[in-house]
Amino acid sequence: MDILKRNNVRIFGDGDKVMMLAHGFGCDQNVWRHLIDAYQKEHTLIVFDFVGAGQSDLSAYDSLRYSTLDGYAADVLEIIETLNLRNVILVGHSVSSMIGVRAAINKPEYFSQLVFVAPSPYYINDGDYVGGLDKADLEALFEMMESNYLGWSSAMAPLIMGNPHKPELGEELTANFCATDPDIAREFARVTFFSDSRGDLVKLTVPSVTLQCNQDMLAPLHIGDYIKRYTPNNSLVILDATGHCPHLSAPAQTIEAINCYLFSDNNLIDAKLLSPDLFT
Amino acid sequence: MQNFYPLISSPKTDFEAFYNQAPCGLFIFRANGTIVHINQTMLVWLNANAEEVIYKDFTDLLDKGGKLYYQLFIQPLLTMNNEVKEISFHICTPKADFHCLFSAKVFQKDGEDEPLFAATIYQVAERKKYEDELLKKKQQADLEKEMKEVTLKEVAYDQSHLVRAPLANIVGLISLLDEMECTSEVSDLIKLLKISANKLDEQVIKLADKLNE
Repeated sequence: MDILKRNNVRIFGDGDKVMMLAHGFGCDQNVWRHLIDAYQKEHTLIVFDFVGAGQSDLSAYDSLRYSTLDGYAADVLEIIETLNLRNVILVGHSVSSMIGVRAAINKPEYFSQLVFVAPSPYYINDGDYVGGLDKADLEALFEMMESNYLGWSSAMAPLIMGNPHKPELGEELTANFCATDPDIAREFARVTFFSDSRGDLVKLTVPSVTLQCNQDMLAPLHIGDYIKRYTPNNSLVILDATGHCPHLSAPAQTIEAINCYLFSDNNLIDAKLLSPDLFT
Repeated sequence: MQNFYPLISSPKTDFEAFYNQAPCGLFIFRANGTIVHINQTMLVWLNANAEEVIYKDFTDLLDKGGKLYYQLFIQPLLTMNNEVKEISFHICTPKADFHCLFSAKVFQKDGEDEPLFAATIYQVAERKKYEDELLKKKQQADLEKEMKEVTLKEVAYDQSHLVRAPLANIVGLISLLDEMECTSEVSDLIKLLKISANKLDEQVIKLADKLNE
């Protein structure tokens, strides 16, 4: 199987340092546009779509493989192996932070640092642990997804997926759906929200940084502290950003925070940071 | 041609009236969701005064599922594509409860950098019922299809195992019969029996293969 085609891997720049960007649930590699602009000069940047998202090969989707985060982590590792990369800086958004944790526990020798953008080890409230969501919230979200996928045309999907060079085909769909097949999106949603990665944090040996938004209903503020407390060698940065996608809504801050972490001497930057983005 | 639109006596007032009385909700919000303008129709639908909603986060008007959906899908899309169309939302506040379609587009005021979002809201009470009905039917059809597939698999299994086993016995017994001494009349009957049994076996195999496809 052609792994690079399967995951629609794209490579930018040819710098010595390797940075890999893993999108989260809900969208595809297009969310990384600002980071691609910022980092392609001095890095080799690897972006990709998880199977089922964006312009990945839908026929490679396997419900069983992707029923746990390990299946998604295997995608990450297989891309790294195919391209023969080492010392990878892995930037993961949302669920991909924990996918990155699993990949890095499995193959720590592949990674130099992990960057978590708006991560959460578990989204659901559980006893004293406040994940922020309860099961009823998730049912409401799934219902919302269902009613907004009414316009998805299963006849058009293969056309789009098979024609990455004809983006106009996908325009109509990507405008509202980020081109994710609804059946797969539903399964990815379940894996995302029902996976409990709290026990994994302590096993991580690769150094990491958490970029925590100060107003994010999917990852409340204290989640950043939780991750820092249980993850060896983790730094925490609070972004003055609303929502779950700071790399889109507050790109300047996000990039500054990543730079501070990657290029500072001690990698410890637990300060409230940074020049605010203009309009957040 | 100068007065081509003679009805517009005072354009500003007319535009304002149209903005406020348009048969859809209109509002403008900032990137973080803060409402900065809202028209009269929307206020009537929300059963609220301007003071109650201006400078509030518009996603607070949505039910929790909608709010999550906005964070996960709509906000990234708006930032990336500058536009979303016909998103189905449920407005749910202590004073208002209705389903709607939401569309929004980014724009900038002259000479300003801040991106603003112009949004329209259409109430869809009847259409929503129809949509729910369709969705229910679709889910039901999916479920039935799944159940039929399970049944078909069972039939295929029965064909290839439960039916073929006794049939194999019959074929074996016929071979034994064939080797026994008997009249030519019986022997002819056994031949016919053998042909029929083999044909039946072929058909069972074909059927099982078809079901397994």
